[in-house]
Amino acid sequence: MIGTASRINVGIADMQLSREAGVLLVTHGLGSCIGIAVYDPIARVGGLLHYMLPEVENHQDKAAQSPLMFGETGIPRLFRAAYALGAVKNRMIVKIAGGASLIDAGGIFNVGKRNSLLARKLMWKNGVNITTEDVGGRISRTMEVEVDTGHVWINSPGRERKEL
Amino acid sequence: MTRDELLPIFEKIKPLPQTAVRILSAADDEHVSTEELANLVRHDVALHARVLKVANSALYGLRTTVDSVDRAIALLGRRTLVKLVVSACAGDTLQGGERGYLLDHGALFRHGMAAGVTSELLGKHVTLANPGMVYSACLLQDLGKIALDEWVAAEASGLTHLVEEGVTFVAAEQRILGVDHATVGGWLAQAWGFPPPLVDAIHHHHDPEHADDPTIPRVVQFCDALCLMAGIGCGCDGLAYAVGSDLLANIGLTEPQVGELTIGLVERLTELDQLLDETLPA
Repeated sequence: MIGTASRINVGIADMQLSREAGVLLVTHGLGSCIGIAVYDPIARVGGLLHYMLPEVENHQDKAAQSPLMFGETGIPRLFRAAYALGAVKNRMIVKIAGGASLIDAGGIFNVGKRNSLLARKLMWKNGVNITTEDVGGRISRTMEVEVDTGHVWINSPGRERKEL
Repeated sequence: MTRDELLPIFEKIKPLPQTAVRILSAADDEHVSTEELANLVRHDVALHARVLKVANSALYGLRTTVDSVDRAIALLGRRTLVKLVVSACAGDTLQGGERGYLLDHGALFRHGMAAGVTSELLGKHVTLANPGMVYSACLLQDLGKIALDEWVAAEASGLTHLVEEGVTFVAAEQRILGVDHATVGGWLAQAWGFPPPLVDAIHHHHDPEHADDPTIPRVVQFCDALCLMAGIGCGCDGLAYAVGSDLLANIGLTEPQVGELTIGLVERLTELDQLLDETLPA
């Protein structure tokens, strides 16, 4: 944890990146959405994406306006933005969190599961390992990325803060 | 826990103003003229000012300034009046849920407003027979959390344990507290004189098929589900709520429309948060 960190909030369908010492990237309210943290420990570049839906299918217009809303279009942008700041693919540490679901017998509201599957699929296709993940279940999560160290923290109401 | 045991708690909760309750009850009564409704707002100076603030917010996206309740009705319609009134008042009532349910400050109101906004978006896809009542039920659905908050705080570990075992939060409340927040919300709504369909919708928003008329509670359950998935209003209960496999069919929605509504909700959040920043009590 960084006591005097400068916090940068990452909203829904948003991403933020930094290579400035002391910056903490924070995204709140990961319900079914996914937070993806990327970090290059050599370039000390950190990034955090908060996307809400997996595929663009049926929503091409929205994806053109807000590509960060979807994992399919948001994840490549996160990586490209990290590379632009000096990050290198084979040094990237990738951590994901979120993707919770309601108790839904019909599976229609299982966006959380589809979101985390999409993240894994895209990483696999592009030869990127997911270092750790905290996905699924019924809890909402807040995700924090320390740009100094690459440490990622998860907070959930009623549960102990933990490092991912 | 019984209703009688909760009565002293009910007395400590700031109720919705009587004017708002009268408007809620009269809004869909065709024997009450629009002029009579407007008069109710006009005669409550504080309420009138707050209604105009909501009407002029980005959430309603009007290009002209609304300087009177008559103008608000002319531009937005009689049906929207009840939404303006409830939105203008509910922030004072929907306070709490922070100790037991571990909600952020203002989250109860934000979640209710977001659910109300979702119901408006839903109304563009399916016909809602009573949009004002639906909106109000969405907004006020979690009243019971205010009353139960201290008990939830006292039993937090037991509730969390049950939820981790796969029990819904409502079932966990029933097992440990003897009652759930939806039932308590219904009691509170009845005690405050809310119209019966609104009492029924609040009471059954997690089990709509047990309502006298499931139409409104189904919509509330759906709008709640979308908000929780977007991470809005999640506390220690998280997303531990069950939705029936036939909910979408019962509402008349298709799966792609759920995606559209999720997108629509998130797109409205900036406007909603702007309004909440201006109206939420510190």
